[in-house]
Formats: sequence, structure tokens, C-alpha cells
Amino acid sequence: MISFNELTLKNKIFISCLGFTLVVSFLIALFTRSLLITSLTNELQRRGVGIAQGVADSARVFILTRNRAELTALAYDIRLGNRKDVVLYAVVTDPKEQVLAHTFTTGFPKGYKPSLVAGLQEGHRVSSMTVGDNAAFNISVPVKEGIYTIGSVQIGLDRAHIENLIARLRLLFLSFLSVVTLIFFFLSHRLALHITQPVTSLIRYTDHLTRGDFHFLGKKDLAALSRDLGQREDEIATLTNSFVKMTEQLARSTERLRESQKKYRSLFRSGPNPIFVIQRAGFDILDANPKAAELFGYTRKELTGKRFLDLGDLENTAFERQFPLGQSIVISSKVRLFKKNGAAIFVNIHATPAEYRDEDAIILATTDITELVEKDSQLIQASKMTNLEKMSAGIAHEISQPLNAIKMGSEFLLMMNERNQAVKTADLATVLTEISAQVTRASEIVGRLKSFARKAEFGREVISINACVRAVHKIIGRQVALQDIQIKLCLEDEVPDILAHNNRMEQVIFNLVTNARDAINERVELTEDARPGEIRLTTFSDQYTVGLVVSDNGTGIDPERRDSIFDSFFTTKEMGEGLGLGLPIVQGIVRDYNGTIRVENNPEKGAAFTMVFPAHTAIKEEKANENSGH
Amino acid sequence: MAFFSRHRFFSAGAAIWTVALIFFCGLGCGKDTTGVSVTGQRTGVTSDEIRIGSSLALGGHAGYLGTQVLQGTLSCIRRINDDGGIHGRTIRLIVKDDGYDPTRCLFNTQQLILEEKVFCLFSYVGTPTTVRVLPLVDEAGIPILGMLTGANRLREPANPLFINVRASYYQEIRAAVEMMVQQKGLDRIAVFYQYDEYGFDGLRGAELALKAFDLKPVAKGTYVRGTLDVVKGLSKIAESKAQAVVMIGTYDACARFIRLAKGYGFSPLFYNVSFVGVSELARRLGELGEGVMVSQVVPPPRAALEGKAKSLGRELPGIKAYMADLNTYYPGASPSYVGLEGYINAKILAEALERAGRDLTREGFVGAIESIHHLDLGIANPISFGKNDYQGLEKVYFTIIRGGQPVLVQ
Repeated sequence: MISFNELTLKNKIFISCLGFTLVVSFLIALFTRSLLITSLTNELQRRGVGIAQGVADSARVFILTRNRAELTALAYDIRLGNRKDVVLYAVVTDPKEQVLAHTFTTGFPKGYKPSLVAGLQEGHRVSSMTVGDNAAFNISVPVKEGIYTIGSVQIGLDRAHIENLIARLRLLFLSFLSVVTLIFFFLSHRLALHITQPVTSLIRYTDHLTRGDFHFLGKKDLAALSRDLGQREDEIATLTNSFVKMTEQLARSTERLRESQKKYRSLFRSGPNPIFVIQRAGFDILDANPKAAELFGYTRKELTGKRFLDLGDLENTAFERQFPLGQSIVISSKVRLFKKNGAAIFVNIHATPAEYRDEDAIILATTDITELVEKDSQLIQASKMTNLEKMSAGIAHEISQPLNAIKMGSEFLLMMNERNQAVKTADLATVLTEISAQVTRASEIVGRLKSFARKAEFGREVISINACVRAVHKIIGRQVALQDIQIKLCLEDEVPDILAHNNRMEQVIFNLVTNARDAINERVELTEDARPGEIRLTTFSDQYTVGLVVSDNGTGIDPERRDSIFDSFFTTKEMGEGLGLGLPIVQGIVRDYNGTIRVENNPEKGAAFTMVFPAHTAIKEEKANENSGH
Repeated sequence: MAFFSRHRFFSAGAAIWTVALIFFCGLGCGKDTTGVSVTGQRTGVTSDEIRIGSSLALGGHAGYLGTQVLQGTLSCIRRINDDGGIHGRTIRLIVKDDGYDPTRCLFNTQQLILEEKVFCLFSYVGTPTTVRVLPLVDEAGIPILGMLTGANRLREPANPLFINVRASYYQEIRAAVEMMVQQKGLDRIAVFYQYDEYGFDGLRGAELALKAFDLKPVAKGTYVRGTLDVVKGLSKIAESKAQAVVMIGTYDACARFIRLAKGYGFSPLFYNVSFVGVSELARRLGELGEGVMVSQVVPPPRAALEGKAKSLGRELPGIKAYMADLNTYYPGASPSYVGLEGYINAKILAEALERAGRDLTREGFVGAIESIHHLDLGIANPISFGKNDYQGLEKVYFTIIRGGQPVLVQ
């Protein structure tokens, strides 16, 4: 059995129309019988009653005078003309149902009895009777004189009359319905075709389009389409026109897309920067341009399928950012990646979300900043050298002390030797231990210098910020103390590690501390505020971050200048005193470690520099180990 | 879907439609309730008697006609009965007086059919009365024969149950108008008629006859049946200065009309149809009846011939027989046109009964009538009936009242 939904549209319309017509016709035919019969019967009875009442008025006088001839004439007159079809008989009776006049010319039908007159006070009475061979409605109407009934007029209405009428009506109606059905048959057929033919054409054309075959829509075919439409101005015509417009638009768009593709393909191919297309989900490289292949030394084939993160020091957390719609963001600056031959390069990575062959992808543009990084590193180194210069007096002082101590000890021994006096074992031990300790101390200082001067390895290490603070304190603490400045260390006990370099961190702290010292000296010199100077170094942490504050009670920072202090070559010092390179480098280093630095004036009228770094957790430890393995 | 191909659908639809139509037709067909009952064929026929019924005017404004026609009829019937009847049966005529009142006639007829159970109706007098009972005749399927009226209604459309003997009023009036226009060269002709079925019929006849000559009645006057209120009609006609008046009325009204007219000096050609009863008209008018024309449908009875005119050279055997029987059964009664008509009617009745045979049925009776062709009853006026011809006589005669007596005009 075929379900309705599986039929073609044409047949659907057709069958629906036809079915509907048939059902409606059937229902109407069903109702016709009962409706017709009831209403016609009522009509007939009303008519009969009307006739009888008319006769009753005329009959009154003749009943009173017992003029049977006139009553008979009245009775026969009822059946005049075409009333003969409807009225089977007419009878006039006295109150006792005695027949006074009647129209039964050939005799009373078998078993006929007039209906009761008694009780026929008002109105009329209708009853069903069989008179001879005919079924009839007997209508009795009283003839009254005043309030008394003096007789009755009884009329028999032929029920067959109604039935004939109904039969004729029904036949007529049926013929009409049949004709209508037949017309509908053809009309619905035509209608269905009218609607479905254009639709079928459109389906055909759409199939062409789906196959990408735009060329069929030549002028010839468009003309054919409009011919099919003819003079129509209905929805089908609108649909067809929209379709044609859409197709033209589609063709144009496809053309434009093709051109655009060509353009961007050439850009991709010949762009000066390496461009990667990576998967959003697993960071697999989906595509790379020739420049990328050239730069990294891999072939394009080798690159596709590799995880981008495998190329270098990039973590997937770098991509866990919100991509503002349509814009590109900087993923990282100074990311270290490795060529095939193992050489390291530094790149800035810009990322833009995109779609690549139905996948969520990211387009990465990398800018080679290896030279820049080199220069940067040289600059830091230069700054370090400057710092070293600043430190030289202190270092000299630091080293001369142990040297002096060693000299004293060795001179004592020399003196004892020249005097040929034996040195007491205890004294010898003391002197030698002291010499050894001082040597150790001096070596420490030298060692620290060495490590300070050393150009940093690129890969970050796990370091403790507290250790850095302590190391710097060891170097510069005494020197600063000599200038009447106290250094206070408020270090949190269990501070988490961070990813950085020890000596760079120390450089940062060193820079800040010397700035603090200079600020205090300035304050003392210029403002007669002879409070003792204090530089406080505080570390703190929470679940995700580690912080370091370097605060002093120096001159503080002018609020207007606060924004400019991190600018390169900005200095408040006298000409020749400072280069103004310290803070920018500090900021650069802090940023390198994904940290932040800010400055505020503290309540004691000094400055406080706060740095916050991301805490290093155990998971990252493995990565760090890997990196440090390079 | 191949199944729903166009052709398949077409034929399926047509088939369904046809079946439905037939089904509904069958439902719709009702009982056929038309058709005449075939019972009552032998009503009124017993082993030794045939009962015939008649309702006619034995008194009142047409009483003369009724009594006269009855005399003529009974003369014939009594002779037949005395001669042994027809096929061993005597004819019994049951007569009821209706006084020329259609209502009484109707009632009488119902009685005759229902209670007296007559075989056929016979010798009715007058147009309004006879026309009134036609529905009963149709309903009962009972033949009615020998009506003393020339009304067109009884003749057209031809009905086997309405068996006319006399020529129609149309025929009478046409002959008269033709004579007036062609022979007398008259063109101003008025019509005076009884205001009922009889008069209307006559009026129509006159108008039809005049139309043939591109003429119209110059005036029309009426009177109500049963009254003598002729003055209004007379004045209308007199004003019109008519040259002739076609009169369709009864003898009393027409006599008064003519008397008054002549009294006022208005003396056109007065022409009456046969129903007026010429003898009675002449009697009432006396001298004033001079020149009044009356058409007849039967030849003059002997009395006329024996009058001063003596126009016809020989006696007609039929008329002789009439006068003989009249004399036998109604000695002293004078023969009349109407009486002769009654006699002739009875003769035809007897002929038909005879021809129908012993196994007498109404259908057989009608068939017998239809078989009568050129029956010569000795009145120089052959009687013919046929399948669609239910009028026996065709001739129209003209009489003029001269010296108080009707005289045949050739």
C-alpha cells in the first residue's frame, strides 16, 4: 500500500481534490434525504392545513344548513387543478364523524374512517393513514361556530407526492454533483499540472546546479524557463524568478570565490612570512607555505601532520585564549622554535581563527625575530655590564675584605716564620680556617660574578625567587648598609617556584634595589628628611602566582612620571649619571617570564615596585625538564 | 507512479461515477402513482338491467330544456324497453334535477356514480353543469354521453369518456358569423353572453369566428346566470350601434334582452345559439320575436315543417319515428328541436349498447361508439365517431322566427 506522502505532488493535489469532492458529495447526499424529507413533509402539511382552514371557513354556513351539495362542491374544489397531485381526498364531517361530503367518487377506500373530531378544539391534527393503496397524511381542521365545533374538514395529503419530488430532486442534485465531480476531476488534474510542472523543471535545474554545472543556464535555457512560465504572475513565477536570480548570484559568487582563492593561494605561496594552518583541536599542522618549509628546513609534506607544539617551546595553554571574532591576536612573542637541523630560531606568532576544509583551524603567521632576540640579549648583556660597573666598587670592597683578611693571616704566619716562633696549633688552625673561609667567600663572590656575567641560556629553569633575593642581598647588602640604608627581607616561607633564570632575576632585583638606594640618597640630600633609609624586599604567593615587592622610603615617583619610567632612555638622573636603560630592561625580562610589574607610591613617601609571576606547578615541571635537556 | 497514469484514473473515475449514479437513481425511483383504475367496468350492468344516470334541469332557468330533452329521450328508451331491451336488458334511466346549478349537478353526479352505481351518465344539460362534473367522470372512468351543450371543453382535447352528439358552439357561431359577414355584409357585430362557462365559451367562439374576418366584437354585454339583469349589457351593445348581436344565453334572459332592445328601437340582427331553445324563446317573445335567428344542430322536427314554411319536400323517417314515439308515450306533447335532440341521443346510446354486445363493459361501450361511422338515423345528418372523434353530428341549421314559429332557412 502506497502511503499518501510517497505520491508525487501532482497526484497528491489530484487525489486530495477528488477525495474531498467525493466525500463532500457523499455527505451532502446523505443529509439531503433526511433534510429534504423533513422540510418537504412539513411544507406539505402546512399547505394542507392552509387549504383545509380555507375550506373550513367556507364550509361553516353549509354545514349549518346541511347543504351537502355545496359541501360536496367545496370538497371537489379542493382537488382542482394541480392540487389533485397532492390532495388525495377531502372530507367534510359533522362532530360525530358522519361524512357530510367527500371526494371519493368511486367509493370509500377499504377501511377508511374519518379521524376523530372530538378534541379538535384549536389548530389542527395531523395523522398518518393508509388510504386504499396510498400512504397519506390526514389533516383535520375543525369548523367552528363561535366556540363550538360543528364539524371538521379532513384532507388527505399524498405522501408519495413528496417522495416523487424528493426522488426527482435527488436525481437532479446527483446529476449536478456528477457533473461537478467530473469537472473537478479535470480541473484538479490541470491545477496539479499547473503547479507541479514548473516545480519539476526547477528540480531539474537545481540538480544541474548541484553538480556544479553552471553553464547550462545559458540564455537559451533562461528563455525556455520564462516560456514555461507563460503569463503567470503567481508564486510559481516568483519562485522561478528567484531561482534564476539565485543561480546567477551563485555563479557570480562562485567566480569571485575562485578568484579570491587564486589570490590568497598566491599570497600563501609567495608570502614573505612563514604561515601555518593548524588544527584547533590537536594543533596538528594542516598546511604550511613554502616560506615556512624553507625557514624550518622541513619539506611541506614533513610539516603536515606534525604537531605544531613539537616544533619548539610552545605550550598548548598559549592557545587557550578567547579569539576575538575575526581578529588575530598575538599568541606569543619570542617563542623559541627549532629547525630540522636543530638550530634555534625565535619567532613572534600571530594567530587568527579560521575554517580550513570544514575544520576549526588557526592560521599562524610567524615572524622571524632571531636577530632581534640576539640584539635584545646583547642589550641586556650591555646593561649587565653597566650594572657590573656599578657593582665594581662594591665588588672591590667585597673582595678586598676577604683578601685583607687573608693578607692579615698570611702576614701573621710570615711574621711568626721570620721570628722563628712556633705558631700555636690553635692559632694556626684559627688562621688557616679563617684563610680558607675567606677564600671560599671570595670564590663565592667571583662565582657569583661569573654567573651574573654569563649570558643566559635561553631555556627557563625552575628557580626560587627567595633564593634570588638572598643572593642579591649577599652581593650588595653590605655596600648598601654602609650608606646608612637598611635592607629588610620579608620573604614568605614556602613560596612556589617560577620559571625564569637565576642571574636575570638577580639582575632585575639588583636594578630595583640600586634604584631604591639612589632614591633614598636623593631624598636625604635634597629634602633634609634624615630618616634612616629602608629598602624592603617582600615575597608573597597564592595558588597561581608568586610576587615580589621592592619598596623604599626614598623620594618616591612623581605621579605624572609614573607612566614614563618604563620608557627607554627615560631618566631622572643627572646627565652622565644613568642611561635610563634599567627599568625597560627589567620590564622586558619580567615580561619574558610572563610576569607583570607595576609601581606605586607607598605611604612612607617612597616607591614600591611589585612584580607578579605565574607559579610553576608540577605538571609543567616535566616540560621544564625536557626544555632544560635541550 | 505507473498505477496512477492518466488513463487508468480516467476510467476508474468514470466507473465509480456511473455506479454511484445508478445506485442513487435506484434509490430515487419512487412509486408511480398515476394511472386510471381499471375497476368499475361493469358497474350498473345486471343480468336484466342497465342503469343510466342523468342530472339535468327540470326546473329553473333552463327547466324547459331539461323537460323537453327528457321527453324525447324517454320516448325512445321506453320504446326500446317495450321492444325487449338490448341483449335482454332493459335500460333504466335514473334522473336527478339539478336546476341548472353546477353545485347540485356535482352532488347529483356523485350520488349517481357512488350510490346509484350507474353504468354511464347521459343527457346532461348545460355547459356550467356538465363541465363541473368532468373531474368526477375522469376519476370514475365513467362515460358521459349526449350532453346538451356545445362547449369546446367537452370536445378538446378529445376524451373517450366525453361522447358528444351535437355540433359545437364554435361550429354554430362560426356558421352564423360567416353568414352575417359574407351574406349580409355586416361588420359591426356585438356579443351578449351569460357570465359563466357557457357564455365564455360562446364569446371565444364569436371572437375566433370574427378574427377570421379581421373583425372584433364592437361591444360585449353580460348577465349573470339565474338572473334577468340584462339592462347594463343591453345599453353597452346599443351604444355601440351594432348591426348584429351574437347571443349566448338562456331563453328567459335572451327574450328580455330582445324585448327591451326592440322597445328602445334598437333592432339589429339577433342571433342565438341552439341552447336558447327556439320554441320557448319564440313563445316568450311573441310578435317581438320576428326576425330573430337561431342556429340548430338537428333538423327541424315535423312540427316546423308542418308550419307555414313547408320548406322540406319530404318527411325524414327519423323524425317520423320521433313524433310517433312521442305521441305514444307523451300524447299531447309538441315536438321540439330539443326533444328531437334527446331522442337522437337515446338512439345513439341504444346503438352503442347494442354494438357492445351482451358482455357489456364501459370500455366495450366506448369502443362501440368509436365504431359508429355514418350511422343514418333517418335525419339526413349522418352520425360518425372515431378514435379521436367524439362528436357525432357536424351540421348546423339556421332558423328564423316568423309568425311566432321557427322556420328553417336554407
